[in-house]
Amino acid sequence: MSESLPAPFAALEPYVQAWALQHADARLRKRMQSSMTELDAFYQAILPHLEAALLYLDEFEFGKLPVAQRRLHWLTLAAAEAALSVEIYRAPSLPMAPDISRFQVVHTNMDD
Amino acid sequence: MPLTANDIDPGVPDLGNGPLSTKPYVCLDYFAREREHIFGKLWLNVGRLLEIPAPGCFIVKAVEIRAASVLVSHGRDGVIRAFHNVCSHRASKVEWRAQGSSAVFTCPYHAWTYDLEGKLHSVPGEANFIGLNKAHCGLTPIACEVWKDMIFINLDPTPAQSLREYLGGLATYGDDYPFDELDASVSLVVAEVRCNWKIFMDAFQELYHINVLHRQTLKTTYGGRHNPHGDPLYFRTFGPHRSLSFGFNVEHPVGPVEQMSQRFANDLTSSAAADLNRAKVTPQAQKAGLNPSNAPNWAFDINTIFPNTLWLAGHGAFNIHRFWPITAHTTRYEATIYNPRPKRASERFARELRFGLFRDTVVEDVLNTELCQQALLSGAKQQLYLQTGEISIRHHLHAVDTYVRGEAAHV
Repeated sequence: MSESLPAPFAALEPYVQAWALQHADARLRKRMQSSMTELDAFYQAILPHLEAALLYLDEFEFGKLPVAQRRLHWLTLAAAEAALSVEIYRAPSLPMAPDISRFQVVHTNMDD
Repeated sequence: MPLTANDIDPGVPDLGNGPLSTKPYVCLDYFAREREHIFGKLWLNVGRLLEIPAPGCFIVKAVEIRAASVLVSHGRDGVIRAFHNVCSHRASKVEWRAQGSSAVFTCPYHAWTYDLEGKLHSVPGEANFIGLNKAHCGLTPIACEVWKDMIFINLDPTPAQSLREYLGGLATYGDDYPFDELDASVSLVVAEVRCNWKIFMDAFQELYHINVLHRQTLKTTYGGRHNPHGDPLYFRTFGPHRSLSFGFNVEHPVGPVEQMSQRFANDLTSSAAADLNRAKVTPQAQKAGLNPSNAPNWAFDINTIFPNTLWLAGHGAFNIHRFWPITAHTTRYEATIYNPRPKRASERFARELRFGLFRDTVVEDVLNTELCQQALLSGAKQQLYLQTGEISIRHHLHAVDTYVRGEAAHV
């Protein structure tokens, strides 16, 4: 899997397996099941590359991203999820959050 | 900056200041009257035209309080019709899918089929049905009308008002809102919130609780030192419907990734004060159908389409929340954020962060209101005390009560 991400973002390779998740509910579960130490580590690792990654991905036709670029895209979506915990909540999950199985999230025309 | 007389439209009726009874949230008889006078008589928003964009497209929506399954069909003639989703043969549920596209509707029980306009098309073994008049055996129609691209149904076989008459000033006010441009969505569905439909709606009718209940999620987004109690900017009513405006806290701090999401969002809606620095905010915010008081720090309007739909109008995005009573003490909740379809990966990223914050904030309300309902059922309290900034809740309970008492003309 050494070429799983586009070459300019090879530094993020160690996070692909855990965080490059296709589905929004998987990304939320990953966030909630991580410790703050893990969330901070992922956040700090991706933050210096995030803007460059988004600008790089914008060069590709959205909705038809090649495999490596899709993985990088999922990683940016995981960064958005992790940032909620790191920048705002300072917790992997919220004390008032009901069990995740109680709600359902549906995307329409979001092209992911 | 508490809500003052200047912030309340002169057309708002006197709603008083006294405590409110808890009875509408717990009383089974009250719920039965809501079933009859509100959900059995008024226009209910069930979806958007973009959910059924072409002839043959359909959606099926449940109205549990009326035990109704509503089939909304886009006919070959382009007309949007609604029907009871019930077979004329032996009352089976005809269409089991939540949405789809079909040339005919075929009942899964004995394969009676109906066309997109609701007429009975074919009956297997028809010769064995002595005296059957197929012309009398179509799907039972339900009144269905569209405002903008919002689909409404009315379970009264002969509605007292047209949809336009019913929406009144709210429709005029919202006529220029660009619903059509906002065609991508993320929905949050909670199949069962264990509380009365009104107490859950109440959580979306004031921001007094934002600084407290949502202290770990929204934090000072709408509050902060200049507005510590989440006071609204403006309040107006349109018969039973209403509009309540809220402002951003310009000092709300935002982290680097959230800032990035705002820069890449390519619309004007975000949770943060950074918006205020954008040159295009002011003209957008003063568009028709938004920001009625022209407040410079305006964030969004919570428009209530009575009885059970909230339309949270922002610039560049809006939310629709629907609260469907199941029993007096349980509610199905569906909330959808609509925004322009993302054209780039960076826009998709921006939507992800915003939806995540929305989701995590809303589910805090779920747990809290369930605890409120439990407490009300205990009978510990018979009255609730509301402040001026909670005037929207007062108006909702007033409107519900007026219909329940059969005095709709006085809303």
